[in-house]
Amino acid sequence: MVPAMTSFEERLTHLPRLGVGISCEFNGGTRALNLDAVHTREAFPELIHFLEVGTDVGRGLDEHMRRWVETGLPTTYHFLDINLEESEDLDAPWIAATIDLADSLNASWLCGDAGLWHFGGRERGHFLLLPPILCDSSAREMAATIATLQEKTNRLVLPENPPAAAFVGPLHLLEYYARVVESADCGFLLDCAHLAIFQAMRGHDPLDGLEDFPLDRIIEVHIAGGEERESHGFTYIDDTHSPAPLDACWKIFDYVQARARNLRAVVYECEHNLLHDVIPVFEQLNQRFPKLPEDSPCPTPPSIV
Amino acid sequence: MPHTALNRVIVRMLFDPLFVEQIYTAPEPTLRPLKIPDHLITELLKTDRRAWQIDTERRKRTLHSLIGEFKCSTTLALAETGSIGLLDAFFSHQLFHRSVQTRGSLSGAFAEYLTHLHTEGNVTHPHYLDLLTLEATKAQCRRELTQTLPSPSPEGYHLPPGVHSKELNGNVIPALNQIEHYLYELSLLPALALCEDRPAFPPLPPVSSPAHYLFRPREGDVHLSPVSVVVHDALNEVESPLSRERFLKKMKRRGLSTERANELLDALLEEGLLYRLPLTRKSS
Repeated sequence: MVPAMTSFEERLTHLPRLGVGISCEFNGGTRALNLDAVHTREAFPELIHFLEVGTDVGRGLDEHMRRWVETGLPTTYHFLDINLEESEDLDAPWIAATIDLADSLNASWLCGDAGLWHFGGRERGHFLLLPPILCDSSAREMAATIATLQEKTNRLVLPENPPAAAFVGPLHLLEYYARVVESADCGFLLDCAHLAIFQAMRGHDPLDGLEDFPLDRIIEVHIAGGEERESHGFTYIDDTHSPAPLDACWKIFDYVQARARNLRAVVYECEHNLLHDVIPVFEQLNQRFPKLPEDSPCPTPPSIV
Repeated sequence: MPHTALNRVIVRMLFDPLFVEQIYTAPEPTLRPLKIPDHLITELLKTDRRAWQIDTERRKRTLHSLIGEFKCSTTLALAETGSIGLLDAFFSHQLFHRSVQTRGSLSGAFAEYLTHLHTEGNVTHPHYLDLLTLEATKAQCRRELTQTLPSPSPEGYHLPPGVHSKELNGNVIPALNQIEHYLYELSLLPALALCEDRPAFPPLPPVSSPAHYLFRPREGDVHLSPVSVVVHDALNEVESPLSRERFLKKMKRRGLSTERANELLDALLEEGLLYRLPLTRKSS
């Protein structure tokens, strides 16, 4: 058993390198088009090395997720129900239920979009995904929430930059999350597709802000497809998770992958597409972020003594 | 915190284009009372107002979610008014906005809105309020089951979470069953809505004399069962925690002898319809 850890550097020493993985969401298999992670892994064991499980305490694990757990292969837990920007949302029952879920998955770490997953309480009709207000008071509150969550779960918590058509606040998104991760002493999940959307919506170059971001905090990256859409004359990029990542997304990925010395995992969010459309991207990702011989197939996450 | 206040405003903007218009037309008078500092008002106004309305299905999806707990009362409202716009208007109503602004329950606000439709004379069917009370009470019970009890709770006798008793007309359950059967028929072939020979909304049984129903959790949901007026009255007295002495006094005022009231209290404890927090203190 590993003693309770208090610093990012300590947690890093116990963090496994997972390689390239695929994502899933609760009851994703009920959608017409859904890649079964277990079957896909069986068909392409050299391309998919872990599963990122997206769910919440209200729904738990579905049959697909349980089948993956039975394989003993690595997982990470992506929450869909905690407002990291709202410390009052972090209550004891949620923490306990999340620990149970993460333990049942043997999850290497916790991660999830960092903003608001719901307004008010966790009730029907309240769920939506909002980015944080990009200001200092928000960054401080988010950092405090993450620090508490890491302490209570004794797992690394990786905030992820969410997608949105509108971001409000004086800070650049990367400046905001830099403040969060330094203050919370946590890692970061950089979603390259979401960052590409932010940069486009704010009129920035895809790589703007990355040179000042603490890249050694990036533990995981996401890559996914997006598509330009139009609504009432307003053009935006929709986070569609279609097979082909935008050029801006690849540009960000390549920049980060070459510099993030602590990068442990890459997730290609593509599960609602045809297999033959996504295999080439999995092949590319495995070339750029290959599974190494020393990577553990079944890492044991740290837990409290 | 200013970002918390702004988040609530943004949620309201995502649902209500009229509110978006109000903000962009008169930002300071709209936002300063909501404690949004001037520098964040400036930041908010930098956003293209069309960005708040790209999700054109948001209101429908949320309405679908809310209607899930108010199936029969909303169906009755739609049968009488023929207007989905009346339900959709909830998202532009002050009840919705207040609910978001106060971090309240959307379900509770929606129940209030549905009551308001009756008060305003939009929905007048005799079964409507009782059906709404039935569904709103079940919704309340479900939420109580997931809430943490306040700590420390007052000493005395309490209703357990998810337990309530209501007085409703005796034909409310048959009315509810008829509406549910009608909805089931439509669910078999949703495109029936397009047909002139679609099933008509059924005539409901007449409103009858009052009956009393116990709401309690069972098998993962909230179930209803008829109870005597005595049990109903007793449970309603304990909507706020009471000592045994005060319970006996209240039941005496309702005509129950002290002996009978004591027996009743013990029976309700035995049944799990009440629970008691310790009254005795540890001796030093």
